Amino acid sequence: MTLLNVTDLSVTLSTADGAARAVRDLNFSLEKGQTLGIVGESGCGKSMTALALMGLLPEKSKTDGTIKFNNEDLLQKSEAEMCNLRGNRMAMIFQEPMTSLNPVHTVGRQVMEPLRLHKNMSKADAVAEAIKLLDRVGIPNASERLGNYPHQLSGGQRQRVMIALALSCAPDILIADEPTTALDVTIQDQILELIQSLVREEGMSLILISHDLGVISENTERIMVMYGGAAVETGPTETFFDALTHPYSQGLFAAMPKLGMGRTSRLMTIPGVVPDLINLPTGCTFTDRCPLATAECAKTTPPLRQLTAGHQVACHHLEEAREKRPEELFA
Amino acid sequence: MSDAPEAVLQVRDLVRHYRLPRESLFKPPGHVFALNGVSFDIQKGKSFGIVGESGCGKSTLARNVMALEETDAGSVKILGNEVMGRSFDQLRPLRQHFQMVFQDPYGSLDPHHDVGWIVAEPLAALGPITQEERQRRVTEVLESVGLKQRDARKYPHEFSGGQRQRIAIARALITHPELIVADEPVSALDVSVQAQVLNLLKELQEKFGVTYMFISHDLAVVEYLCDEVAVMYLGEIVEKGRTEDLFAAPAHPYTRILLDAVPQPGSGKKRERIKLAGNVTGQTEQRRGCAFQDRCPMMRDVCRRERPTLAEIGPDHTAACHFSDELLKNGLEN
Repeated sequence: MTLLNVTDLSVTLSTADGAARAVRDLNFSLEKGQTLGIVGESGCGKSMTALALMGLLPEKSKTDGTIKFNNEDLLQKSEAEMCNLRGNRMAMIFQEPMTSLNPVHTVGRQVMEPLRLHKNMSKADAVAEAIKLLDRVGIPNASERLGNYPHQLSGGQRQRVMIALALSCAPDILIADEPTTALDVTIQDQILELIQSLVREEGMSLILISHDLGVISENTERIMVMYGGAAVETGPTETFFDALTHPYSQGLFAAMPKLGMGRTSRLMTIPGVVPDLINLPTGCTFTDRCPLATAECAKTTPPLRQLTAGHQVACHHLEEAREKRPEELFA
Repeated sequence: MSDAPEAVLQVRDLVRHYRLPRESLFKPPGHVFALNGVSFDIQKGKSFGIVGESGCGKSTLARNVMALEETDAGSVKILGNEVMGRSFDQLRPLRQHFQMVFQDPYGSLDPHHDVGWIVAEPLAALGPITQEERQRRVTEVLESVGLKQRDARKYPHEFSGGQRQRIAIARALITHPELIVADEPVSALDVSVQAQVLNLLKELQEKFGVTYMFISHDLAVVEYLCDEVAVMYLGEIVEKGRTEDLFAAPAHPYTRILLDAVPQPGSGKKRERIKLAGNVTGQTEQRRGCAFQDRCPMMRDVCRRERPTLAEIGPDHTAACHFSDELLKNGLEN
């Protein structure tokens, strides 16, 4: 059964300079137990998508489209109904474990909060459950840690507490927005491993958001590349990197330093900068940076077109893009 | 030292301990042992990378090399001049030879001044120069980092992160320094912008022959840019060598584990590997034996008793591990 079905999702933020179109006509769906990776650079709309799913967008924003979660449209729900879902059926892990925990409450109290609220547990039960959860995410001496404040924990441990919090009500879907960006590689490894095993064991669905293609590639089944608020390419992870087609995905991959590539080769660069979301160009937003762009690109927005099963690309010059390698595109 | 003339930077036995506040009146104060005897040379025109996790002392090393704080012991020679123990005024004329690029391109540029002013500021260390000369050098340096002359009149907020880092690099370059210390210069940037800045750093090195001391936690970035790499753990260099050698045949278990932990796009599945448990701990204690003993999968009794020293294991390749030979031969075992 499809757990999450997003159709034509658009998010417009009103800023002092005008309306910023943070997410445009986004479509994707997620089966139960499936993992999806969203990758893109800052300002591509990946975090806004996550916040829209959770109903946590800033007040001065407008959301269009539908987000069907268990066949109910989240956008039609009242705030009280969303409160019931949030932390309960859907949970989110944020990027900065330093700032997303409340510094004036103990770790125990914060982990117990959703248990008391959503599961109506007694205090004693909640304490026992919180210890179990902290133990589960690999925090040593869990019972002693309950009384600790966030500043007494290291960055990795704080992120583990965040994961324990997110897991507390065994949600159907876990959204992790750059969960390891602020952490060292070895700690990142531990945290991703933990998320992986939890997703496997609990049968949760996972949306993993990252700018790191490596992280996405090793932890998800499907990948969606976003640029300028829209999905430009999506496909199954296993074959994704062999079949990269959209000029932006190709450029992004070629721009990333990879271990083992040595010093003799040169990194490809995509000329120019990401588009301004307030004055988005008409047509394809990648036009001014794209080596394949023609007059058509600047006029009409390319639709997502099916290339092979499950592999969709939004580009007017599909055939050409498919034949070209990044070296030819961004030389 | 016979090789001294070529070395742009020579660091010997650098030690830096920070005192912690007293926990009680009667206890002696604790210390953070940030640097415990670090030595290395950087030859002219080369890039020297320093990698390690947070808390391993890489940024302390940068601050000490730049003489931005007092050091406890050791020596730092830049172009043969000792910088340790000199006063601010004595250092000032030397500063034109070593400049720094910081991590955060948003915090390191003063928002109240235009780019021309920011970029020209280090010229004050050169003594009085004419307005025309100053203009000429600002234009020249902005063009060399890919910005335009008219950008000199703009303010930092008008630029993107990548452009700001270009401005920071221009500021470092304007005095024609021999050495640029770059502390995580691309960590805050997006992938496509990061590639632009890395290529710029390479081009500038080819053009001006500048030497880099490049600090990063990203091993792939270091491999791309650096000729030599040192891996740090708890204030010590645990392995050092030419980039190709060190990445192809790591001789310290920590290096090996760090390399294994980097996620690689395209593999699709998780690779089999040894994972590192726990965090970097132990900055506040001085112990016997190897710094890495608590987290090392190869730990034996001797590691608790004796501290391994940096030993030669190949040409220009040293590692501080009792079992380097074994590691190179058999790989990591639990």
